[in-house]
Amino acid sequence: MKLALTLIITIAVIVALITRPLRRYKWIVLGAYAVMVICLFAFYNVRTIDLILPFYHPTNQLFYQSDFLEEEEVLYPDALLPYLLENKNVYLPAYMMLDGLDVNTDEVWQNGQMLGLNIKNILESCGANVITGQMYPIIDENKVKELFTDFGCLNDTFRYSFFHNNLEGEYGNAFYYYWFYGASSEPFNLYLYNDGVCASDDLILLFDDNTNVYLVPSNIYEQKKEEW
Amino acid sequence: MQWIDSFLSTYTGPYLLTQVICIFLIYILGIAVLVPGFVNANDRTNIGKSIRLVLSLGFPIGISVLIICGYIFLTVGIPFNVISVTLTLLVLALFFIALGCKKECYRRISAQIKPIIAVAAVLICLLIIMFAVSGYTAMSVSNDSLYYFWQYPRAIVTYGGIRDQFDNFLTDTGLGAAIIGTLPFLYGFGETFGIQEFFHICFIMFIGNAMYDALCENYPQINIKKRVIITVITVALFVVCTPAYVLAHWAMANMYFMEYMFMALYMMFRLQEDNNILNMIYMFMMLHSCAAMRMEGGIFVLLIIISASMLKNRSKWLTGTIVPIMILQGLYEFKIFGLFTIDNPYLFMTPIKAVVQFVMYVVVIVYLLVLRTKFDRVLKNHLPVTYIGILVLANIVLMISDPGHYIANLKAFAGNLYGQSGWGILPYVLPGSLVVIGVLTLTYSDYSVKKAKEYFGKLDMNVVYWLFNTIAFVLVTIAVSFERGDNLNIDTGDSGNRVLLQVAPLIIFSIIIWIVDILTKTELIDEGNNE
Repeated sequence: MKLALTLIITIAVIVALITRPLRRYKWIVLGAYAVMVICLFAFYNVRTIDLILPFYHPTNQLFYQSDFLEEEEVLYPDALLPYLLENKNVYLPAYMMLDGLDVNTDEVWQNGQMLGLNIKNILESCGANVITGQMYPIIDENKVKELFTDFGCLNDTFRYSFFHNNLEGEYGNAFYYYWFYGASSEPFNLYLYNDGVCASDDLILLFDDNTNVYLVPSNIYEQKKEEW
Repeated sequence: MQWIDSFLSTYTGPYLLTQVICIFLIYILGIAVLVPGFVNANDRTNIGKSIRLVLSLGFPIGISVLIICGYIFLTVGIPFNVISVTLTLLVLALFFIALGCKKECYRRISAQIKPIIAVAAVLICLLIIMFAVSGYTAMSVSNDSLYYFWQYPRAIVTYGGIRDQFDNFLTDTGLGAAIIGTLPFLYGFGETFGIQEFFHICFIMFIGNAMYDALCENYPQINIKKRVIITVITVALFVVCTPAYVLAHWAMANMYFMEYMFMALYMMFRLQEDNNILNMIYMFMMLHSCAAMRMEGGIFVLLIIISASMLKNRSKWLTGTIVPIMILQGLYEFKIFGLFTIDNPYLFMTPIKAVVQFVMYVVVIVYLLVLRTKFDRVLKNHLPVTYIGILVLANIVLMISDPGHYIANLKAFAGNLYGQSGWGILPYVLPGSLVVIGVLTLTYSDYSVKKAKEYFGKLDMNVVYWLFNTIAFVLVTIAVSFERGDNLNIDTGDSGNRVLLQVAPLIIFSIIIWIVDILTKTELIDEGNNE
């Protein structure tokens, strides 16, 4: 189609240029050629540009667009987190505690313990006050999923969390390579409780067996913890 | 999702306003920098031309000043925060305003432009910025947009500088693009889409301006009506041309690179007779922005310098523009490779590539100061062909060194051109346009191949310059992509494809200038025949 249209236009222009009576109108002929090319580009763009790249209209002045939620694979949850977590208390389960951890050994990241450190770094980089020490159970995703909205895959969030650590060397980055090419290639997602997450100042971060991350207001958690 | 929409909308109002103010102030800074150089108090003519140039270049130059400040701060280790950046930009703006006042530029402007027009211009400018920021124009984002141009700049602002934990961000992201990305986090808004959109609008003004002025300078016989029509066609073609559209609406560094490169090339041509120190500073700003925008940017800066050296023998002036770029880039690369520990399994910029790039700067400087100057008479008529020959030879050497890799890359380029990788109908229109140019040349030569050859042999420099740059850009892109290491992919987002997409304005400008050149010459002959 593209080739055929371009070919027809080009041949028409060439014929016009070599036809003696039309030669004196060469400015007009070439002007018309340019206009036809412009129209072809515009026509092509209107029809196919969305197939080349996904486009959004960022009228909310943020990188994060609610249209991301409508994508086949929900996108970029970490662009939302700084707005959601700024100046909030986030309670991290005690089993993520890293106090006294010798981070200079390979064992640390090979055992997946970098996960806790990276989560803490990510939360703090988003302006959250991270509080650890309390024990929260691992929840059953089948029981809670309908109460939460899936905000997409967090793997890349963890992958790039290394620039927030203070470790010498490349442990955060090594975690990425380990996590993606070794221990787990499954995506783990961010889930936000459907009611009150934005307004609540105290959020609890929970995990399920697949390392999916759930953020829930603390008052809701207190009410529901027995069910979960 | 109602609740998340209403939560996000709480940021809309203040973020919009802050971004508009930020863009406007950077624009004013750029205008203040340009006025002393481009508005000549003693020149009573062409104030409109100067003002058009200042208005279209103002914002890009403002951004360039920010990039240079940021680059120095981050490389030297000066704290990068809202106070240090704002104060530095303010001092620079005041310095250039004082210089403009000393040279009586503002007196001249105020004498020729009524206050009501100035007020109207400011209001129109604010409206355009508001439109750019509003989000009604489409924008695409990808993983790189988020991590390289949003999270990384956010981390720079958080830590007040760069640190070795940033790891491959330091070697894979052009620092210039990251510095633009710090603006939302320095001044308190959400993203840089509005900045990118307004930059693009300024560039659309610039390319129109460039075409109009090129027609006035090189083809004075063309009447105003035709000039305006050709300018409108150029602008419309650029706006709808798929590669330019894709890059302009994709939150990446490629649009900035594409537009800075074109601006630098055009200004090199335009300022070829005017080698004063202020123009050297402006060229340094534009070229440094190119070099800082992408990791391979320095190579393209050298290409611009080489192509500018074809125009006039002004080797010292050209050397003056690139020595500071070489020093700044060298310092940054010394910092990340010499002082930091980066041992990521994959790096785009490696220590070896950094050294090679530095050596290339030195070679070009030596060439400019020794060979180009010494052999001016011998070299000047053969430079375009010689340069293209060298680039072709370099590509042949690369191909011989690893034929499989080189051919795989060429196949990927072809796959991207004729697949749906952001090229639209350009790969079909371009050969068609070249055939049309061939037919035009033949008709102009009365179908005599000998005369047609003569025409090609005597092409004016204003045509040769743009053709040379278009061809050289493609050859350098193929070579740089080869040096990336792994094979290119057939994908819009592949970095090799994105770099090649940047050729769009060069192609449009070259083809139009070439067609106009032939048309004007045939018109002269037709007029001669009629007489």
